[in-house]
Amino acid sequence: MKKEFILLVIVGCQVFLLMNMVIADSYIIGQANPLMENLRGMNENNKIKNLINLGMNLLTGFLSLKQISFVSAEVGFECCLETNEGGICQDIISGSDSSTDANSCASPLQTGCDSVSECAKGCCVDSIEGLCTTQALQQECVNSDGIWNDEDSCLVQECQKGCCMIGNNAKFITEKRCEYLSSLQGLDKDFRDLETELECLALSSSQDEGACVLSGICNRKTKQECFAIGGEFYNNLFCSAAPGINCSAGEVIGCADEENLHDVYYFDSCGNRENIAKECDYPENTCDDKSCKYLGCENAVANVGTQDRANGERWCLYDGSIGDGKDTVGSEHWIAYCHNGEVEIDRCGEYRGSICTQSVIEEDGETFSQASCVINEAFSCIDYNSEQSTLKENCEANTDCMIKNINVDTGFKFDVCTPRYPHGFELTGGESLRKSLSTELCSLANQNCTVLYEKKLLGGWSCKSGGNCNCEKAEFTNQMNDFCVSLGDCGSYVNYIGEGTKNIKVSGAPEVSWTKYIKYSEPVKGQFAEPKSLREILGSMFGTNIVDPDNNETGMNKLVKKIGMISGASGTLVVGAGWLGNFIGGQVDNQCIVY
Amino acid sequence: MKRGTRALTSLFGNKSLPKSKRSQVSIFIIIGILIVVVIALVFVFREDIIPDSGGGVEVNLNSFLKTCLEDEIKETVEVISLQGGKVEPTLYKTFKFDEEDEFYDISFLCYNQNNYLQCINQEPMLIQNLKKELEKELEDEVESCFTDLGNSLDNQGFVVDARYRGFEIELMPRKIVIEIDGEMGLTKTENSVRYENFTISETSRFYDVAVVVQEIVNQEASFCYFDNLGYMLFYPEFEIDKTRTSDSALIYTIKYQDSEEKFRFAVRGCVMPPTV
Repeated sequence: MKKEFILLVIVGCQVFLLMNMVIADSYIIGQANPLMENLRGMNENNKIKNLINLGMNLLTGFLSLKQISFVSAEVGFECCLETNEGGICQDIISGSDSSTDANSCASPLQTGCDSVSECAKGCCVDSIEGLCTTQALQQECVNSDGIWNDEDSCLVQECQKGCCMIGNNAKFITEKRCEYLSSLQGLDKDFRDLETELECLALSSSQDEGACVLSGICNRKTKQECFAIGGEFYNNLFCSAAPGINCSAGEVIGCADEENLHDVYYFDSCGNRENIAKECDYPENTCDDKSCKYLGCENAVANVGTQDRANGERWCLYDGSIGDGKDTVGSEHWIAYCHNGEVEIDRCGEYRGSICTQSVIEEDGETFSQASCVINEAFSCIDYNSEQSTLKENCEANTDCMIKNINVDTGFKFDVCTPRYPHGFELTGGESLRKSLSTELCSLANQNCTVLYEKKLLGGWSCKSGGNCNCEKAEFTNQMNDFCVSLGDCGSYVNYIGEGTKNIKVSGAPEVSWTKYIKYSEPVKGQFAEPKSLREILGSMFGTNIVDPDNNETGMNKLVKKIGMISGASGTLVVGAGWLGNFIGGQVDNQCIVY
Repeated sequence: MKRGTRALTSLFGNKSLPKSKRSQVSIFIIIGILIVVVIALVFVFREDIIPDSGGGVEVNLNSFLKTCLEDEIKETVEVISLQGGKVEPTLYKTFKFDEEDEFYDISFLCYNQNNYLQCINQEPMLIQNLKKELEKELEDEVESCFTDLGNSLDNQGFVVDARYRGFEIELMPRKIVIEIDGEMGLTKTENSVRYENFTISETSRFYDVAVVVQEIVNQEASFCYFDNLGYMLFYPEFEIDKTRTSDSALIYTIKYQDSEEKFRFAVRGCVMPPTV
């Protein structure tokens, strides 16, 4: 009778969960929508309005469920051609029009900006300057006398760049711009079909120069420049050797005025540049007065200790250990670079929204690091769990993600895709709704494991072999806490200073202490995130349904369902066995909480 | 001894002239020399304002206008540059740099108020809009300087016929050029001359920096990122700094190395919020 009552309670709970999951999912969708987030952020001080917005979000979230397709079409976005604060072509959520909100407008168009012709993005060509602007709005372009076309990356003939020689300067610009800049200096256009900027800039110093004599005064110029001013040109001749010119050779050494020349040069007595006196090998060194100045950075700060860096070298700095889902709370990724002898450091993004990736080129025993800040695709990793069939493939293909094998016992094991570099949360201040989202995310690691007990012949109960006995051991807690930590700033873990707190509730298994993670607060020598290809970054950024406002089934709510199914299945198995009368199920629970 | 010298000697050496008369003659000669010098000096200085057809006046008219407008051009360019290309920004980020004392309203040149999405280019024709902004701001000052020039010449005794029709600004590498469409007719002592279309050139890297700004906005709008260090290696004459604000906006500062001119603007795009 007692067993039946327990089963009744369990069934009741499951029915309750099933009934509420629909609304809970809708709520999560509503919260995950970036447009709604912004809507919420508009009037933080206006509590009444926030309350209305909250209600709207819940309603919108509920109505935007795919299952309720007949009304979902009515929930969408509207386009403000100009918001109250002056933003052009900004999407707002339907029904949020306002004449006072900075991020809204009084009379939005009843469709998303993507469908509005004035807001169409394309290539804007400035036909006077020969400049091309990518992702330009049609309205703004045409209003300013630009020529607009719908190729938003400007892959059109008039925007193709080549190498333009203007005097002894090479510029990687469009042909039209070459014509314009040359004409400003009274020169004929000299446009060459080169594909890369580097090839073009290398031409700067290889121009034929010579002595240009005009009215008895000599200057060093290119042939083109000299003819433009009507001078007499002596190719490859210095002014000191030009006929009728009284300048003596090699009088002084110093730096050239030209921006692209970095060596030390001889100058004649009239101040004209002659031969190179000393090669400085830019960008390693550059001319400084009469000698070459080293532009590298000695003893530059490194992840651990210091390291000498060359000019232009970039490297990553981290606040602690990174990767494997173990980035510490409050830690950030930083990019450092050596620029003309000085080390500059920038933060990659807030809350590890961007991560620093690094690659090292090794040649002749010397290394040169390149690094960049890229978007952290932590949320895409969670999204991959929504499709079990492609989970492994997608997760392994994205270097920001990793497969976490939860394997506590035969009845409690599953694979889940988690972020390799967990995204941080806004833990201090911020809005309460944002905090509730963090709570939702951490709760993905809330799990219960049902342990099967067997009645002994001589009385008493013992854990049945294959009945999830390991769930009662530290192994369960450790794996669950690792899972919890990998989702974000969740679980019993340490911050980047090395201090920790307990943020996991376990019943039926030993506790886990944050102190075992202290080592992760220290940076690791030689550790860095691997870079991705540009295509991979862009593809994942703009292809994922996280950025697609029309896709209501976000990764998070699917994952909630998925994980619910996992524990639900094991629960059913145990319940079925329980009917035989010789077994009993014991629950081991793990609750993952925001840090 | 030459004849002239001999004549003078004979004049002064003539014992028939009394001593007082000789002194009088000396004084007359000295006064004569002084008159000649003064007249010569008057001519030297008058040369600047006497109309001639050799272009001398035109140079000085331009010089007057340049002196009159110089400070205003520099101030306006500085204001526009530090506020993202606008004198009165509408869509902006108010920000104060640690090393500075005042807050600036820095225009967003690329902006998306929603998270995750690329920024939307707000000023696709940046160079043309900068020209318009400068023209709008200098409009009164240019006309006022042209009027002042006429008044100045009028005070110098010229009959002035000044006609102001407007002006245009051209932004070019290394300089800002103001082309005034106007006429200045000057008449004095039956001589008259007419000058048209005055050109003032002010050294500035405003244009060179603005072209880099457009490139940065292009890349931010397309790739959510601009590699400032890579750009500085290719073009060491530019210094490009980016600062991320607490609300995930990016503020770029571009400086041309050999000048103190800098341009600032803000970008908001591809913002990843703290949680989903």
